[in-house]
This record gives sequence, C-alpha cells and structure tokens, in this order.
Amino acid sequence: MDALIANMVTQVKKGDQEAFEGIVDLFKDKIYRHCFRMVGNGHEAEDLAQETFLRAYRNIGKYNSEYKFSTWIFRIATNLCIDRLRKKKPDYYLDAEVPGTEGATMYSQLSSEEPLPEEVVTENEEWNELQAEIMKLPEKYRTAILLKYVEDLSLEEISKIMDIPVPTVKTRIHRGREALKKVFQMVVKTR
Amino acid sequence: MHCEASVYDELMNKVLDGDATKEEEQNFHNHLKDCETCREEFELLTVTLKELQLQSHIKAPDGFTEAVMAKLPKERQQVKWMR
Repeated sequence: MDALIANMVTQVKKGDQEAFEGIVDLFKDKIYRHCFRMVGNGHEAEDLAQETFLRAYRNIGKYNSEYKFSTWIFRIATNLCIDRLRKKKPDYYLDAEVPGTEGATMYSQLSSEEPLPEEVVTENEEWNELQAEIMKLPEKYRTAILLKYVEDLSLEEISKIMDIPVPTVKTRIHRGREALKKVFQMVVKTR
Repeated sequence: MHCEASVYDELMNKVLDGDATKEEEQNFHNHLKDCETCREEFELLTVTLKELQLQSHIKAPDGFTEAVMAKLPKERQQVKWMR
C-alpha cells in the first residue's frame, strides 16, 4: 500500500493530475470522517475535506516522503478543522447576561417549549449523542481522542500530525477521556 | 467522586493505554469488584471508546472525488515551440 501511494505521489509531483484521483479515492472516507467528527456537521466536513485535498495537491512539492503520506494529509485536515472551529467560536454564551434586562441570561430567553439546539441536531440520523459529547471536548483533546480511537493511529503518528511530543499526546488523550467521562456522567444523571 | 483512591484513576489510564503490567491490571480489576464508582466509570469509558471505534460507516458523499478533481488548478500547459 505504501509503495502504491509513494508511486502515485511521484506521478502527481511530475504533474500527472489523474494520479491524484487515486489519492483522493484512497483517503476521502478517512479525511471526510475526521473532518465530520471534528466540526460536527456534514456540509462543513465536505467543504473542509475538499479543501484538504486541494491544499495537498497545491503543496505536494513540500511533502517529504520520509513521512507517511497519511500523516501529512491528516495534518492538513486537522489544521483546517481547528482553524474553522476557532473562527466560529460564539461571541456570546448562554449564561451571559442579556444587556438591559437586569439579570436575565440567554438561558431565560430560550422558550422552554422549543427544543434546545442539541436536541434538534440529535434528531438528525448522522448526529448521534456521541457526536454531541465529542463537540463538548476542547479541540486539542478532541483531536487527540479522534485520531487515537476513530482513526486508530499510533501515538507517534498523532504526535507528528498535532506537532506535539508523544508524552503530550498521551496527556491529551487522558484529559480527553476524563472530559468524556464527566460529560457522560452528567448525561446519565439528567435522565 | 466517591472513590478516594485517585491512584486508580492513574491505573485506569494505564489499563486503557495498554501500558499496565499483568499485575497492575489484576490489581485494577480487583478494585473494580469492590468499587462501584470506578466500575461505572470504567464501563462508561470502554463503551464510549468502543462506540468511537465503530465509526467506519461514515463515508465521503457521492461525487466527492469528482468535485475535488474539478477544482484542481488546470494542468500546467506544456509550451511547445512551433518551428
């Protein structure tokens, strides 16, 4: 497999666009899935996954074949997802006071009849409860947990993708698990 | 958290990482028999992590490859000198 990929990369570097089609076919499901889990919705995941491949194509000359191609492309995808997440951080929070309302928070502005945003999305088939919990994890823990458990990558690969040392990867996986545990405990208690 | 033995938190991480020795693993599982809190936590985590591992059904949408290929910059034109 690695030899096949190396061969395709060489062809692409020579300017053979068709060879790139093979690369897209090989990695599209993994990259799309990773983006989907990172940002939590299909449209954005598709957009980010496409952008990942376009960037890979444009920068193929910078790819160093001493590293696994999958590590390189996962790194592009992860960085794009994190950029996107940072850009769309809400500039208000539900428990923030609504100006001029003397103590009313955004929570009280939500009608109790209306389903909460999370409840609406869980009705979507692809948006299961687990995804909702993943979205609550801070992005650095989320990335480590997804790469380890969904993509089944080694600590060394995750370290290269996230550009952090292996012991830090371990810590983030531990903290990510701790956070998942806490979130699930709250879910169980409210049932 | 009812279990005061935070040492088991560390051990749980070791077990989940696959870094625990046989003895440590045995020690941890013995503790789970007596401690409901740790047992629930451990089960919750293993179920969650297993569920995460079963995500391979998510696939890129139809037409994905074609859409990417259509967006690639045009192939470098080979300039041929006419003589």
